[in-house]
Amino acid sequence: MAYIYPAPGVTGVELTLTLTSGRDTPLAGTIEVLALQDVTVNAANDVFTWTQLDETAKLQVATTSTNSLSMNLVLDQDIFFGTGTDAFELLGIFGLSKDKELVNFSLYLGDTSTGVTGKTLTGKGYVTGLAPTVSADAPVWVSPITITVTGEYTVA
Amino acid sequence: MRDTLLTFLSTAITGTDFSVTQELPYNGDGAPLFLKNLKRVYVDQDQTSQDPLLDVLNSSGQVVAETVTNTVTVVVDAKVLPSGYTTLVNQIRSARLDPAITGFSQKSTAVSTEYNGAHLVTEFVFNFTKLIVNN
Repeated sequence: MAYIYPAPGVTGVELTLTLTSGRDTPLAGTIEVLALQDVTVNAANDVFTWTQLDETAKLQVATTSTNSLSMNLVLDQDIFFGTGTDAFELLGIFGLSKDKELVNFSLYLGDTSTGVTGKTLTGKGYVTGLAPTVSADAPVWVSPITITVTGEYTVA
Repeated sequence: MRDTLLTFLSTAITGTDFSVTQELPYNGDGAPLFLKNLKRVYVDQDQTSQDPLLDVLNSSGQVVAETVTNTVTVVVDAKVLPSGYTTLVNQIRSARLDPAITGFSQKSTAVSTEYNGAHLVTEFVFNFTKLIVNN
């Protein structure tokens, strides 16, 4: 057994999410999305269902999948609103959502429990679902973030 | 924090029957100093604790709530409560609002009393909380 074990806070072992421009002529720069609280990889196949008079149960066949990454992010000003000199980095997470920028994402799931380098999910998608929130009890801005994936995941 | 509280309290209770001492409330001959020296305000050493507020998956960016706690103690004669006792309690409680105490998002004071023989022991627990980020 080799469980996927992204030891939080351990450099080189931890989960990482990297974004680059998905344009045909890519914008320069890379955004490493730090301070993620949790990540959910959604890969939900739609299902076509039918019935037949000679079957006691419904029959189903999987059709296309709806893929997305759902996360919660503690907002870092530079990452969320952009910084640096490269066009892609200047957009920040907020700009990627506002401008509907196509992004390439690369999600490293973390090393395995046996210490072996783990898998990376890549694909293209759009940043959406931002809803930053703050409260007096937790006076730090936190936001959900979704990367809605266009096309298939690639596992490497 | 202890130095700030001492400075504030020394000024606040000047001219009253009470005094502020620079001494720590250590045990002398088996009993804390404040039980021997009535009407003296003792300020203990700062205690600091950290509790994770927001955990993150990567090696930086964890948000931690850091709380500095300080205990101030004063003892008076329980048989005849000094006339300025209530005023003193209010003055010590107000130390949390000292403008010199900056950088904390939450400031609170809890006051409790207990009897030790013929003495009334009044304890003030100050809590100052701020958020820090592990980078």
